[in-house]
Amino acid sequence: MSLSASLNVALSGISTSSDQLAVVSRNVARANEEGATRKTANVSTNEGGASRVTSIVRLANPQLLAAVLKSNSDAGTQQVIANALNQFDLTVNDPSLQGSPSSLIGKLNAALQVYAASPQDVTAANAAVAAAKNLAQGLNTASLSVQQQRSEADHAIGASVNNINSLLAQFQTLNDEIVRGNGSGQDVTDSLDQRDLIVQKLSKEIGIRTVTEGNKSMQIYTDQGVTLFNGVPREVTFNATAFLGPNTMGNAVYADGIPIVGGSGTMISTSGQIAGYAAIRDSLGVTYQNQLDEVARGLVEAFAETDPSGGALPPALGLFSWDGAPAMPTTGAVNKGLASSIIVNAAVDPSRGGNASLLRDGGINGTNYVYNTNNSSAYSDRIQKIIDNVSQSRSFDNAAGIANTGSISDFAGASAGWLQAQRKSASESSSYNNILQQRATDALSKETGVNIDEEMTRMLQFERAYQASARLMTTIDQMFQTLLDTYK
Amino acid sequence: MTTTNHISTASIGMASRLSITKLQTQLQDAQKELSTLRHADVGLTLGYRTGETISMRQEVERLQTITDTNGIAKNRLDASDVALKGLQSGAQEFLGNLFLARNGGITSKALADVAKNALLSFADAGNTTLNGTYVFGGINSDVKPIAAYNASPPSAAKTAVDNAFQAAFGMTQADANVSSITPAQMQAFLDGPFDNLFSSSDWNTNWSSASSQNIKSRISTSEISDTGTNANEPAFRKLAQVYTMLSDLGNANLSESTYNTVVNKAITLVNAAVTDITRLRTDFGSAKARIANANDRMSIQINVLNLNVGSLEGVDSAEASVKVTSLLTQIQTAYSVTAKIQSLSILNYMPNS
Repeated sequence: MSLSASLNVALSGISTSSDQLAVVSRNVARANEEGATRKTANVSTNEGGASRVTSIVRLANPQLLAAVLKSNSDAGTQQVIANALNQFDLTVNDPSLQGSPSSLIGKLNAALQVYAASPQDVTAANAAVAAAKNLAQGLNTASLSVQQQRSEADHAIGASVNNINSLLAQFQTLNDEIVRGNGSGQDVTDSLDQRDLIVQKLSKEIGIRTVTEGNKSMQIYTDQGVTLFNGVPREVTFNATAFLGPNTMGNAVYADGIPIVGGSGTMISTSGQIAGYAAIRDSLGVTYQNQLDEVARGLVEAFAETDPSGGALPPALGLFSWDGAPAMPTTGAVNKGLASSIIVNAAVDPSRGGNASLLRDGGINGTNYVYNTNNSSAYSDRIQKIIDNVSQSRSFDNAAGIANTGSISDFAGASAGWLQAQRKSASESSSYNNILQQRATDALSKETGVNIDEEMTRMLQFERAYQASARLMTTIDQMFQTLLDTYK
Repeated sequence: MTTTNHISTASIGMASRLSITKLQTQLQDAQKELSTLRHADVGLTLGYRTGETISMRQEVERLQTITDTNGIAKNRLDASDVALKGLQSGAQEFLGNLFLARNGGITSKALADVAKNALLSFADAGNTTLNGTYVFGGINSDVKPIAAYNASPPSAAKTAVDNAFQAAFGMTQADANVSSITPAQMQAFLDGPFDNLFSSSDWNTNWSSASSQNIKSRISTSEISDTGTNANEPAFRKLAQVYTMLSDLGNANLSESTYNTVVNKAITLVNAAVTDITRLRTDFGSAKARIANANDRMSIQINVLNLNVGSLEGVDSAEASVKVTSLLTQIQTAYSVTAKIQSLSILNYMPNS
């Protein structure tokens, strides 16, 4: 082999080393960037012994990426549910604050007991009515808060759908770039990193699975197999509702005309933030509202006036009224929105021109319903009867999702227990999924990320190779010199 | 190129950052638990059992309210008892006078004055008030139960007695001819028309505005009981009858034998009244005992419930303080480890060339 051939080989060593150093500096520059993978240069040697960088590859791990996608989706669902339940929790709050519907019923009970002990005392009557107003307001507020959470969930679904559509559009751009670059042998590793990042973002919104083809094009399906992207993005559509009242259910999200979230069908996604929002909007929120409505119905019924003579007069609204007045609520079933509209009857409410003593005497619905016919000031039978009614066991609708018999306060207590149980399980599963998500992200980052120390040692290695090649060139040059000197 | 124990620089930083954040959140909760000695988030810790502590707290409040209102009932019973005790001793004293009268130890005129005064104190006792309510009013606690007998214009009771006397003997009580009334005539009058004046219905019309329905109280969660009596009880009617017959039947002018008929009838009535009062007072005693028992029971229940609430919602103080200390140590360790890791870089050991 000739000296000039050796010189060429040495020259190729220098340029290979510089190319490799360039890769090192790219790695170092992006060492702390999210989703940046470690790139390495593939080097090949030709027959003459000259080396060159033939391609740049990245460290990728599809299995770990799939694990990250799944954990992102699961953590998203639970996080959303846990957050919304924390908002619901404000309606119950710490038991020591005694602000839950159950505690407010207890306070009304206590006020009634005091009133029963001093039935002639107008102050005691007013205090009982005030306790009843607090309770009604407590139920109104709780119900409103549930409606707000459900409406916010509905809006969040809308935002999530917009995000999914925009991510899919970005995804298309990158995917096209990768397919094109791959065909023409360009370095597409950075685009691949970007595309993985988008897929990760998408997985937070909705549970997805990905399939990569030979030409590096990627297809995206929901966790239930509905196509979101296959060459082109599928349009995801959703109509948000301005405000979800107790009687309104939100709309479903469609991809390609197939319901994928919040509707009925076999392809409803079960993970991702959007699934969490749907659970709050369509299931947890509705159940909690049913419970509040049943508490309200129990109260309306317990305080209702019945025929004092035991005759055939139908029960009529007593201390508590609602927007369906003067009719009584349907008994034995959830009356949607009753908790939002329950209010102290104006006839008993002194601040609205009513007479609190009607609580003792009856007659809110006219003289036929008067219990205290002699107008005795210390008549307490009616109040005692109400106290008994409140603590008496009654039936509740199974749609409330908790024990269907018990006293109103037992039921309200069970409702608080139900809420806290949901909250506990959502919170535990959220922190569990968060840990899984961190582990998966960590594993992916460990496996495919850049280690600066490692890059530095490699830099030393390339530096030495560069120095050696340079020394070779010097030596060959000297040998040329020696040769030329011979012919002087 | 990949080595089995490859680790990226980013993941080293992230690991320590995440663990420190987590420790800090735990420390915040632990500090709260240490200062309140309750779980930082009771609902989150107890889950479905939160329903239990809410119900128990409510039960405590309910029992506490009943215990408080039992105080009202007990006061009413005490006030009623004191008034009845006064009536009883008054009646016994009057009984002494009646015996004296039978033996001629006190003139009929003097006894009539005593009876008149006794009638006044009877009305006073019957109209005993407590916190502005009449204790013997039954559930009509806002109306004065016993109307004054001697009043002007004449009370309904007085008019009824006058009319009955007139109807029976054809003269007024003040008529001097009352001396002609025979013991048999008087006996018939006393057992007939005069007794009727103190029957339940006439009493309610002429004398009493009380309701025969006694005040009832819930003295425990399940027990509703009478916690008072009313001025329509036979004891009241009998005493009123005795004091009336010895003050307003023209007694001073009656013949001795006729007067003795009146006195004898009065002695029977007073004896019966004293027995009736004793029965009422016994009822009060047992009502008070029931209240005391109920209070004892409820206070035990309250203690047990409070203990249960505490054991559900509370944290052990020693445990909480150990937790805070160990978390602080952990965080310190994490800080120093992080600092060490961050200072470890191959750059520090590389030649500067």
